[in-house]
Amino acid sequence: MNDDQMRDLFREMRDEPLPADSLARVRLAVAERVAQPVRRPFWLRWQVLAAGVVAAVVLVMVLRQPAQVPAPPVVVAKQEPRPVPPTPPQPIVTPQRKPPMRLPQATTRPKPRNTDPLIRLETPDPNVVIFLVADGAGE
Amino acid sequence: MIDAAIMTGMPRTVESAFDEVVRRRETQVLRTAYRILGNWADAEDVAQEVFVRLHRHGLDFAAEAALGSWLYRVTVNLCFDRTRRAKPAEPLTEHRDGSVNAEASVLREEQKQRLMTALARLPEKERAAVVLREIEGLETAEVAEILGSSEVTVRSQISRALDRLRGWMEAR
Repeated sequence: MNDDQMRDLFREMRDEPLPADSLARVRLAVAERVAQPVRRPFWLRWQVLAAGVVAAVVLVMVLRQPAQVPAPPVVVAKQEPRPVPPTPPQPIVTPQRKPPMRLPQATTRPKPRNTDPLIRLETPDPNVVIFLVADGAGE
Repeated sequence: MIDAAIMTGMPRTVESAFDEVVRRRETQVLRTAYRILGNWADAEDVAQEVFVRLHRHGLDFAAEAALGSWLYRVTVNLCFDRTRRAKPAEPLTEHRDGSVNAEASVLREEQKQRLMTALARLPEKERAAVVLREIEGLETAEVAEILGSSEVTVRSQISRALDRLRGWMEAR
């Protein structure tokens, strides 16, 4: 059998009438199924039910809350300025300045006191006293 | 033309338009399903499902050809689903009217029967490609679109399928 013969057979298959009972069954079944309401799958029905319950709960919670009344407008009465009682004069407090910190100074060794010998000469006049100072050399 | 009138929104109800599409397209859908599946019971189930899906989808198609392609595509996909779930072991038998049988020669009928049996042995993609192009008479580009393949692939599938069919037909 060559390709042309095979194609002739295919063409005859296309032209063959289909069984009338099969077509009728298809048509009837389609009409029945289309007329039925769309049935949701089980899990989808549960989802819809759960969503409904949640929505109902939320609605109840919203309704149970007290209605929010708008706050009354705030009226501010103008008041005369009250006389201010004289306040006693506050003592002026001057901030005390901290004494500046003294830096430690280099300690210097005290100079040795002049240890030159001092000679006191008393005169016959008690008001006159003579002091003689001698230098280190004794002069 | 009638389908085109339906698509353009004639003053008809949606249901009557749908019924008319079913009447006009039931032969195409049932024949395609039967040639791919090889038995009438499964073909009827697939045809039902195709039209139920069409009802859900609606008749909003841009053109007549779009409706035809859509029906072919859904038919082929449902047939593939069915063949993957259960391999048909039922022998292919033609339901023929007595008058048609009387007109056809016995030899011709035998050849057709053998060809149908051989067709059922093909892989599903090759079988669908042969059914759509050789039996339904679609263009290669349309077949490629329906099967989601390229034209080159479809040509290759059909060529390979015809070689196999020829071999099986001559082997007997």
